[in-house]
Amino acid sequence: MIFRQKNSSLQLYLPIAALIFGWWYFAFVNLAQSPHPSFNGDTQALSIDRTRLKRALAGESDLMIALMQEWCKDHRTTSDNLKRCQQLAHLACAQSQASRKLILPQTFLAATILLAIAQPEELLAIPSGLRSQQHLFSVTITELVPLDSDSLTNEKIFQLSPDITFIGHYSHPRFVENLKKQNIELCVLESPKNYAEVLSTIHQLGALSNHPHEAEILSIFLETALSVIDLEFQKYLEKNSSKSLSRLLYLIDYGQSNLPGQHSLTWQHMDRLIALGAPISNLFSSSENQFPSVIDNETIHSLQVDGLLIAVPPVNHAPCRASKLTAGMINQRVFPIKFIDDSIQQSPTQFIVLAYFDLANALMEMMQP
Amino acid sequence: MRFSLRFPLNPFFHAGIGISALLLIIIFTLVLGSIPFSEAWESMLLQLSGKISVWNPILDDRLPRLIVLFFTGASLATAGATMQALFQTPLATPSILGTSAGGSLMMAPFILMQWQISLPYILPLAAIAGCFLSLFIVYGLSRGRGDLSTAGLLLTGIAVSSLLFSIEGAMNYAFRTHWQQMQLLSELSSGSSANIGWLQAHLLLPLSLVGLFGCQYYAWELDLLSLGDEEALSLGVDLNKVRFRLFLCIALLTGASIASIGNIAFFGLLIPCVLRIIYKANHRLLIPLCIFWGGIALCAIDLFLRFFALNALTIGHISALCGSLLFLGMLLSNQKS
Repeated sequence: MIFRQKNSSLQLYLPIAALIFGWWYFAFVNLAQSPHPSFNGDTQALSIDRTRLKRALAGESDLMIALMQEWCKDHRTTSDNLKRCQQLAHLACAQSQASRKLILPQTFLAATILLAIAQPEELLAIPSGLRSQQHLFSVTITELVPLDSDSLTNEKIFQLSPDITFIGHYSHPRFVENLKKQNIELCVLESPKNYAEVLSTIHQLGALSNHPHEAEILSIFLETALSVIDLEFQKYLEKNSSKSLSRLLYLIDYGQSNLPGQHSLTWQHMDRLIALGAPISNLFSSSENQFPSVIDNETIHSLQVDGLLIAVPPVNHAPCRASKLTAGMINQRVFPIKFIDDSIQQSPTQFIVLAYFDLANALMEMMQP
Repeated sequence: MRFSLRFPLNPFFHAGIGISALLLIIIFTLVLGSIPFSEAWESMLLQLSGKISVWNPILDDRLPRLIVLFFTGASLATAGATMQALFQTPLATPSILGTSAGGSLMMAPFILMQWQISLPYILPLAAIAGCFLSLFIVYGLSRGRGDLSTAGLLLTGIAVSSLLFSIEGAMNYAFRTHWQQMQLLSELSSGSSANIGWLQAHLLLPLSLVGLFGCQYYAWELDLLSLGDEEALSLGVDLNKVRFRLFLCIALLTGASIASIGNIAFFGLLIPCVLRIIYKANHRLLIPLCIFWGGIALCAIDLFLRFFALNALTIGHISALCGSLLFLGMLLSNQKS
């Protein structure tokens, strides 16, 4: 048999590489030429200062009281809550050094709430992921907690000897078993599914960490802030002839677009705003999925939306970074599109208020005629 | 069960079945969707006549998906058939040289850093680069220790794959609390056809076409290689050169598939095995059959999932399920015989 002579390597590989890169060049130059969506993401329809609200939720009790004082003046909210908070702040101050505990929060939920109600020095460790959430807690606060709870060994926990550890129902059984063997007090926290459960968790954490007054201040502040947002939203609806969003679609986008699950807090917030009289009908209520599910481009188009609310990860907060999927629609948009921070929308903690603020603010902007 | 089914050998019968299946797949893929076909068709005609310029479900979603699925199926089946010939075993898959592991590993850091949103090309390019990198590592290591035999390459491939998977596993573990990135990694590793567009089609096509052409070009050598290294050498095959070029083709085909859809396990094993059982053909016929039926099979799996709205499953799951059952069947069949 005669072996066929093949070309020399260079003569063979160069034209092939040129073909591949040439194809990509011409294809992607055309694809890249499509106009990129640009948005004004920093506008604010609500008069509440978001930065101050966030700082207060991160645990600045003085700021909580200051904000409540302002709201008493501006929105004529009841002053009972303010008075109660001022009393509690005095009590908390008097008790601050009395009975400190060494606390080990293993979950995001516990760590986020405890950073707001306890002193950072009382926390032995926090989940490492919380340190990267600098849009919630500044580095100066998280740096005061020296260790990461997800990298603690049995021996290290024994050395630290925490008074109480907060774990999740999903915590590793071996980790839980070890804590029991070391006679460390355990508290299993269920993930809150609604606003009432968030308040209950705050109270529970406050009681178990010896910070009941701070927990109560935080929960009163949450209630007041929510009602102030409600008031502003209602006032907006009364004063302005707002545009109806009868086919609003809410998507979670981080490369793929997803519909939120039925248990999402955003769902409940949307229902609350609708109950206030917002002319909105959220399409995602037709989603039967318990958990987030991928939605494809064609389905989004078939829904014929008249408003698109897209939750994106915080590092991609610049709206022009929306995935190609939504960018395709955005280029041809004839309806309002707003972006909100997904990490806040998905946080069943005190930041539930910030999530509600973001949602109400985005909808108010979208409803502007 | 013995794999010795008899099929009619009439070529017209086979061609008729093949063309009918291809037409049905094209029609169903282009017709089925959330938007009614009549509406999509009208909009497409308006767009083609230049009257409107909006997103169209047929032109912008179903057609690129059809192309990507067809060429991904063709690529994986052909890569599998080539690998089986090179390693002289029907149980070889395109991933045994670490190409799949390399592709997945290279994508992981970009997903974890969330670069895929601002740089949409980064993931497919990383997958392709990862496939080539792992191939060169395996080939370089084998060559470095002076053992370019089938067994030597296979062992190095397994070792490098394990190493790459362990690095990826470590990265995933370190980022386990970032659920969004974990979800995207899981979607990619499952081989999902959601949201395929022209970006994926353009990334895939040149690589796939070059890889498929290369495999077909060396079909005659593949026939000889499947007899064994010594037989191929004695019949005048430049073993190292041919094998290296075929490995490059496999890296192109696997990289293109991972870049466009993600990991589809066992597909490269399943289709060539079934076609060998049915046609008992040499590689000059087997490679075109793999291209044709591989493409049809992947489109059919996708249609099945879409038609029955099986949202919890992906193409990768169905392929892995069927492939692993076939693998077990072959093992048991060999044991009995």
